[in-house]
Amino acid sequence: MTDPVVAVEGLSKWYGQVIGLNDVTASIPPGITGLLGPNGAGKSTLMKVVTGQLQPSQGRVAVLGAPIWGNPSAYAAIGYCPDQDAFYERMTGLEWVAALTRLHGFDDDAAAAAARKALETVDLAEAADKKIGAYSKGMRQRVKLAQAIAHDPRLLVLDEPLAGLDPLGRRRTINLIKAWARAGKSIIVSSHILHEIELMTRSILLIDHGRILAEGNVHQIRDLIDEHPHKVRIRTPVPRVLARRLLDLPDVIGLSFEEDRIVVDTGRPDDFYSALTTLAAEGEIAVDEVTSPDDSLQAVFSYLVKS
Amino acid sequence: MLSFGRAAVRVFDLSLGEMLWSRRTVFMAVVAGGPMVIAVALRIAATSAAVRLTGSPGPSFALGGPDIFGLMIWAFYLRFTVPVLGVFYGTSLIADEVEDGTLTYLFSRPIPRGAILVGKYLAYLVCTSVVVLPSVVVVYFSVVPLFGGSVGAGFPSLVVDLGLIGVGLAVYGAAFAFVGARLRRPLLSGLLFIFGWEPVVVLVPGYMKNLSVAYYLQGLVPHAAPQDEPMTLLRSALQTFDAAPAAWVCLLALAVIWAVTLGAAVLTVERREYVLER
Amino acid sequence: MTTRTCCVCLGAGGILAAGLAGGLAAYLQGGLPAAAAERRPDHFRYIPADAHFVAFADVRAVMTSDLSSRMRDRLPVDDEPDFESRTGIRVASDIDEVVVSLVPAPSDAANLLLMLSGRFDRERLESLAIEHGGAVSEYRDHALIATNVGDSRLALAFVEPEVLAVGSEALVHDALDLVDGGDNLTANTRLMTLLARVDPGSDAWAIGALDHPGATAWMPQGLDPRALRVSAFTVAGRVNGGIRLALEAETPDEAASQNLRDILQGFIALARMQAGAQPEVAGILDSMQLRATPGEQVVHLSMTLPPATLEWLWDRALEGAGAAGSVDPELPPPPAGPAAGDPGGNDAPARRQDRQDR
Repeated sequence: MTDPVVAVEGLSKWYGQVIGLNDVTASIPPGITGLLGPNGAGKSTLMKVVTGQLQPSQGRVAVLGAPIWGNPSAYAAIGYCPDQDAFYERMTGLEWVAALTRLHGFDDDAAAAAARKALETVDLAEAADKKIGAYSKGMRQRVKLAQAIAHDPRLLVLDEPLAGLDPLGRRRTINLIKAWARAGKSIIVSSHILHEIELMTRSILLIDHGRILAEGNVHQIRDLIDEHPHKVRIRTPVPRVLARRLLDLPDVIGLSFEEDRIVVDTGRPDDFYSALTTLAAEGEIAVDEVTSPDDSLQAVFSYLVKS
Repeated sequence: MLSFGRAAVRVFDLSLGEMLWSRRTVFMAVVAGGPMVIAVALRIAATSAAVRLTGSPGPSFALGGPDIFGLMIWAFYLRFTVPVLGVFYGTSLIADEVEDGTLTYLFSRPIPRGAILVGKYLAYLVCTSVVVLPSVVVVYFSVVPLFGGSVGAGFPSLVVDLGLIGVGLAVYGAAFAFVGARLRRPLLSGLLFIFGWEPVVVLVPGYMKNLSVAYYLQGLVPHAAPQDEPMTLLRSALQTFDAAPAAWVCLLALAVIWAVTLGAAVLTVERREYVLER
Repeated sequence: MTTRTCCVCLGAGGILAAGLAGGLAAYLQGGLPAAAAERRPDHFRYIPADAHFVAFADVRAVMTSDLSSRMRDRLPVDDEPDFESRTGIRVASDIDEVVVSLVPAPSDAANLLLMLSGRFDRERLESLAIEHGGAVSEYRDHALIATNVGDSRLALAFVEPEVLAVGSEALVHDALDLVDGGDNLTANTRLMTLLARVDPGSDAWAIGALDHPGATAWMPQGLDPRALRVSAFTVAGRVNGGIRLALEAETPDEAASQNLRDILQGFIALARMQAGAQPEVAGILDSMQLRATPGEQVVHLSMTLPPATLEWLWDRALEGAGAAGSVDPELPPPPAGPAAGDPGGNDAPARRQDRQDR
């Protein structure tokens, strides 16, 4: 049996009176593992504990066989892409990634080369010398990924890496994650959108209210979620034009407007996302951002909790 | 894994530019530029004989250039600029990273957390020195030659003053780095310390003044600290005119404060868990 | 570090380095040793190295000051043959500098040497000395006139055409000995160190080392600073419309320094209470600054005497002098106030003008 990359046993984490994680026990195997749960479920807390950012209140965490809290030498093998949109805005992408890579012990030239390679990997080579403050949302997500992979870690921990990306960006990033996995890296990736996780892996951890609800095959979850209408929120400069095109799609149950956004109800999210990506790739209609409110997923979690 | 020292140097390298080009530097430039503006204005006024040494009406006496420089060092730099910069920068070393959410990128690197604080502290020292020390030099050459002062004769005093400002920045910075690493609202605590606690305890008889940085810095100032009428009366009323401790005592005390607070800050950062709220 | 950051750091370092280099160069060329030398009058080379007290006055600066002009205006006119008519010396214009030095003497008498530089009527001075019983002799190719005054033997000689030495005969001999070289006052490191602390812009100053026997024998009884354990002092003043005085007293230890500060502090507090509504005195007290230099056991006191205060003090002094001199019961009492020293009636303005013309 393969050793788990992350082993968590009886892990609890609370912030004062608020429980972040509640007696979590899990074993994450090599490869891609999706961490699925609604906002506030404890995904980010688990990832922060796994990357040594937070100290467990109770229980044990071993990453690649070593305890992680207070053990910075273990961080060398981990690449962490946090969820917060925070940067040194005045630095260029290359400067920032190179500076963080130097903290892994790379000398100046090696760090610059590694940073450049990482930026090329995430399709940011052309924007490498631009200030991060001038980056779009998608570029910011990608430069975060670049800093996580530049030092060639064995384990990547990616917290909501697809959040705020346009459909093409999502597809590109998903392909990247799958490529890294094929290259032998272990990846833990979080999302509150089942569809996204499903495109990357079949192995998931379902988490809600700080507890692991389910662990294993994604298909069982998918069947459950398809029973509930799924909401997709799309930001576009031409909402009415896009709405007309979307209404032609068979997967769209309903549609409403919110300022510059369209909120679509769909019974078959996979097919809808696929059609939306094709629509955006045609280039006729600009799609700036696709997000999915987790109402539908929350319904699944409620169902699981009750059952 | 990088050693503590090398890691600190690399964090310094990463942080210096960020610190130097931050909005806070604009504030620092204003704080450090004030005395320069005053000095240059004085110089121009003296050159154009707007400030008269002789004749009447008008003041028959102005302070000598070295006296004015001494007063400016004390009043503008050691009692204002240095502690204020110490508070604003020292408390922000970790707090800013927490607030901006960028601490994660540093804390997820294979380096001791304490090295991050030390690296950022070094960046603070260089950043503030880069702005403040040249300002002192400009003030010195603008003010000291006024009214018969000699640039050459005052040179040892300039060296001492530059050293004192460096020491002040180092000690205040270390103390407030600890406050910033430990407390959730460090800026308010720091401002209360420099504008509330220190001015009071330095005046009050007893041992409370030992719990301030200003008391020991004051003991190292080679210039006259202002002793205006209210101050003299107050001291008379309190029946106190405590002599400042000897220079070596002041230096030792400042070294102890520096080492203890910086050490405590390093330990705090090593052990404390920072929860980013963004 | 980015290029821009690097440039800023280098720029700031450059300003700092240039400032320090410039300051150091100025220091080495005209700094501490040279600064002391600037304050060192040329006639130091005629003063013996074992002097323990030296005072200097830039007479020309003082006499041309606004203060001097004001004080002269307030002087009473008297009918005594004045100094100028007897010596031919017009103080305001003929004397440039005065240096007074004291050298420890075997007896309690002060061993004093006065060096005056300026322009003198040599023959007239020598005639005057001879008239007063002076005997002319020659010492080291210089004419020396000596006379007995009480128990002391005083002498005068020109060590240079424009430098007159007056004082005890032994010291005048020493001054003439030093014309050809030898250890002079500049070799006295104690006094030179004190001199280095004197404000270079001072118009008059005095320095004294009191930490050896006989150093204070000349002082009036009750004014012995050793009672306060003062081992050395400096006094420096700048004269213009007013006077700015800076006094430093050096003590042998921290305890003595503390004691002296306490005394001065007490004195200031007492004077403050006594001053009451007298604004002139209150002005002086307000300007007083007392501080100490830790480690060096030096107590500093500085004060400013503004013109109004000096005029008030001057008038009080003149009133006192007038009262002391009113021995003739038939003379009317001097009027009070600033006009007290103006008993000359209608021709007084003319006399005052005459004095100013001189």
